[in-house]
Amino acid sequence: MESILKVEELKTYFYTLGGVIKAVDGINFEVKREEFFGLVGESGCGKSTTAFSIMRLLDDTSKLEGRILLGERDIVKLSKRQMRHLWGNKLYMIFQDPMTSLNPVMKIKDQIAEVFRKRGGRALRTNEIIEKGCSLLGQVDIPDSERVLNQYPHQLSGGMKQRVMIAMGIATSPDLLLLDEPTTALDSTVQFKIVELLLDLKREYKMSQIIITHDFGVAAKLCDRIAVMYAGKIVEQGRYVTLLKEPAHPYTQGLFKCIISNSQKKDYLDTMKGYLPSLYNLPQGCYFEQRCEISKPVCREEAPPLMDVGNEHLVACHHVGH
Amino acid sequence: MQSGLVEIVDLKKHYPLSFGFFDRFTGSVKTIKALNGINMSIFKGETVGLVGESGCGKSTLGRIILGIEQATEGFVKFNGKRIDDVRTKPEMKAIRKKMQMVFQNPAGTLDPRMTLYQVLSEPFDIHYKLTKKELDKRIEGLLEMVGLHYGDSNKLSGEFSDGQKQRIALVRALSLDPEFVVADEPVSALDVSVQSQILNLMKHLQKEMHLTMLFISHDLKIVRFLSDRIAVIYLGKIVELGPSEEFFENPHHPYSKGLLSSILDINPGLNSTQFKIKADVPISQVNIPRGCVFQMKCYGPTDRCRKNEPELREISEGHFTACFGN
Repeated sequence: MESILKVEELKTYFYTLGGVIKAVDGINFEVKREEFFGLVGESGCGKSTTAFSIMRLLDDTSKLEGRILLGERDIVKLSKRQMRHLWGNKLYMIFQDPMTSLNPVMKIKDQIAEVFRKRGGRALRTNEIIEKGCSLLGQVDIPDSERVLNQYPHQLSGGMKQRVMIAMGIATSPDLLLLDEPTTALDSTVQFKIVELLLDLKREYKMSQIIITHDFGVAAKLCDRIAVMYAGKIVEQGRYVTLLKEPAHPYTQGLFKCIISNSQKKDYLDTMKGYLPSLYNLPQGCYFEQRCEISKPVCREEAPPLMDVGNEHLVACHHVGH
Repeated sequence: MQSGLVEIVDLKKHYPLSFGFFDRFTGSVKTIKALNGINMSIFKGETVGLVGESGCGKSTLGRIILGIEQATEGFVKFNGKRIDDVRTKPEMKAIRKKMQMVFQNPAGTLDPRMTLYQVLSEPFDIHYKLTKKELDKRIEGLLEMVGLHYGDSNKLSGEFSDGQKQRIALVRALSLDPEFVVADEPVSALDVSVQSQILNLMKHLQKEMHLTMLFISHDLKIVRFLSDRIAVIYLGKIVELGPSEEFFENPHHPYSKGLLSSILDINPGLNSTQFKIKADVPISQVNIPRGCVFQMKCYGPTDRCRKNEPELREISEGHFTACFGN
C-alpha cells in the first residue's frame, strides 16, 4: 500500500541554556494511505514534538534533521512560506485543547469561512458559508447547525468544540490529518462519541491520520498501527493487535501491565519501577536500560537498533531478533 | 441506623451569578446550583469513590466536607458534630488535623521554593510543638513510607518529578495521622506507569492506617481499584450509590450505564457499544430542569421523570438509584 508520509531518521533537538534536549532522536516510520497511525507514549516521549516537527510548527529554538517525505517532497527543506501552501491543503492538525484552538471572538461560521478562504479560491458569499457550514457540521453530527454557526466558541460544550475542529479539518480534505490527544480534555462519554466519529470519517473520507495519545484505550479503538515512543525514540512499532498480543519491548510490556484492564480485579497493580531519564542527560546505550528488568551489559553500551521481527513488527531491544 | 464518620445532610451549594440591579426585584437572579441536595454517609474505615464528569459538583462536595467552603444549605457532621457549628479557632484546628486533602495537581500544591524538609515539617509546626530530633525522626519515617530518602530532604520540592511530588503531597496529608482523607483526582495528571505506583501506595496506606477516604475521580477504572462503595454524582445530585462490585456488575441509573459503557478498553475486542445517552448535550448548572436532573440526556424520560424528582431508592442491599425506571 502506498504511503502518504515517510519519516526517515528524524531528529528534533531543542537548544536551551541548560543544554540540548533531544526531544526526538532518530525515528523512522511511515503512514500508509487510509491508515490510522498512532504515536503512543507517556509525557516527554516526543510524540507531540514529532507531530509539530511534521507540521513544521516549531520555531528557531529547535533544529530538525532527517527527512519527512510527504508524497515525493521532503518537507524538512521547505520554508515557512512554502509550508503555508501545505497547511490546510495537504496537512492539517487538530490540537489537544479545543478551548484554546478556536478564536474566542469569532463566530463559528466566520472561522469556517476562514478555513475555506485560506484554501485559496474566492471568498465565499454569506449564503454559501451557511450552506457549506451546515453541511460540514452535519457531517460531524452537530445538530441544529445553523444556530451553532452563529454562536461563539464559549457557548459550545467541549465535545461540540472538538467536533467543530474536526469539521474544519475535514473541510480542507487534507492528505494527512494529525490529531494531538484529541479527546484528553473531554469527558469519557463525549470521548467515546468523538472516537466513533473519527472512525466514521475514516470510512467515509478515507483520510490518513496520525493520532497522538497516551491512552491505549483510544489507540485500541482507532489505530491500525502504532509506534510506542520512549525518550525520543521509537521502541516498538507494528499493528496494534500484534503489540497487544505479543509486546516484545520491555517498556511496551510494562505499560500494558500497568494499565488496568476492564476485566480484572486486582489486589495490587503491576508497576514499572523508576522514571524517565532526563532528556538533558540521556544515557549512552538503551534509554530504557535503567528501568529494565532484563538489562544486560550491552544494553548500557550500545543503543539497540530497530529490528524487523516479521509481520510489520519492529522492536528496538538487544534481547529481540537477530 | 449506624451513623458514619462523615454525615452529609441535604447539602446544597449555590453560587449566585452576577446580575443587574433590577433582577433582584423581578426575581430573575441566576444561580449556579453546584450541589443540589446531597445525602450520604461515609463510614469509618471505608473508601467511597465519587464519580462524575465535569460540572457535576464532586470537587465542590470535597471542599465543603473539609470546611474549605461553606454550604448554602444543609450541613456536614464529622464524628457526630456539625462542622459549621464550630465557633472557635482551636476547635476548627482540631478538626483540620483529623481531615486532610490530596489534590490533583501535584506541582501546584507544593511550594517549589521550599525544601522537602520544610514542606513536611510545616504541618507539625502548625499543630504540634516538637523538638528538632523528634521532627527529624517523624520526617524520616514519613519519607520511608513513600519510598523517598531522608537524604533528599534538602532538595527543593520543585526538583522532584511529578510522581515524587504526588507522593510528597500524599505523605504530607497523612503526616498528622488523619482519620479522613479527601483525594480529589490524585492521579489524573500522572502518566500511566506512575499512576499505578501511586495507587498501590494509596492502597497500602489505606490498609496500614485504617483510613476513611473519599476518592474523587472521573476515571472509573481507578475508582474501582480503591473503593468499597461508589457514588455517582450528576448535576449536583447523587444518582446512584452502592457497593463497588455490585455497581460494576449491575449499574442501574442510565448515567452510570453510560459512563461504564464509555470506558475504552485496551483490548479492542472488549469494547462494548455505548449505552445510549445524549452525551453532547451541553449541561447547564443554572437552568436545572424540574423533575429528574438527567432527563435532557436520557433516551427514555417519561412524563413522571419530567414532573417529579426521583429520590434515591434501594434496589438491592445497600444499592440505591435515583431513577424511576426498572
